[in-house]
Amino acid sequence: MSIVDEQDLRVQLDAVLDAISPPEAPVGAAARKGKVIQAGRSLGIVAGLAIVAGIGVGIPALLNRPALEVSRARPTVMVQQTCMTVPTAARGTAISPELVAERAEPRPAADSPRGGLPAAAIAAGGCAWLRP
Amino acid sequence: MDSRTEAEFAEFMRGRWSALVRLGYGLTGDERLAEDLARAALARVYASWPRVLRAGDPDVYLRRIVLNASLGKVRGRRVRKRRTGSEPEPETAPAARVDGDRPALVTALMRLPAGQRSVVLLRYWMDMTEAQVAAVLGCSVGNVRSQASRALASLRVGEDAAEEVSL
Repeated sequence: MSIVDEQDLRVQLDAVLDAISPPEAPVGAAARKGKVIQAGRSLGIVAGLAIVAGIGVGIPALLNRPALEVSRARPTVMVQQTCMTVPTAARGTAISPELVAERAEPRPAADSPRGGLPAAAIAAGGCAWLRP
Repeated sequence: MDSRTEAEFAEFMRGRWSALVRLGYGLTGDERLAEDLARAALARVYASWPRVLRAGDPDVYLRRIVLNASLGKVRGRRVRKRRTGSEPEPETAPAARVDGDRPALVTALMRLPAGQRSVVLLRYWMDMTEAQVAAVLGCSVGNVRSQASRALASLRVGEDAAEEVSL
């Protein structure tokens, strides 16, 4: 092989490649393969759209999910009476012991599981449950 | 695709088939592989035929597919060779022209890097301008020029080396 210049290369390439005699063009086979490629692309597009739609529907649904329903049953709260004196903030109020005695529900000792104070004792200056 | 477009594609394919197989042979040095490349490229063109027609120049698209596919085949064979440590089994039936009876020019072309080989075939066999080659390969005209120059130099050096060996 000897290549003199570009023109020589052209001539040699022509000679070598033109010696190849390809068979008949396989139009049918290429078209069939092309259809398979098309189908694959369509499937890919559909799958992609389905994923996008899934994300579009799923994420807002997750974000806007209603809060878990709160139980409507009344909670039971146990309060222990610890003070027997009037809170400091309430000391200055002008409520007479008589008024307190009027508003205070007299709780008989038998009603209260832990005993309780008679209304009069509450009125005298202890802690009290007041009714509005 | 309707029957009119099918007929249009069939006509396009028949018109390009021989040149495409020859280009594939120049790129791979293997006739069967060249036919596979041409068939696969035309199938891809068929799959996006309306878009290819809208783009304006189906030949550029077609040649680009063949060139890229040939690079992929070459890379795939190299990877298989590296993994197995031996020459991989050909994917198709054995080629009619194997290394022994391959023309000297084709053997010399196979020694060139893929980019230079593509430039040589497009520029000197398909008689494309440097700008057209650049458009097909997706590179600059300067790059085409330098690749062509290097390829020519390599082909000349290869020839000298072959002569030295024969002496």
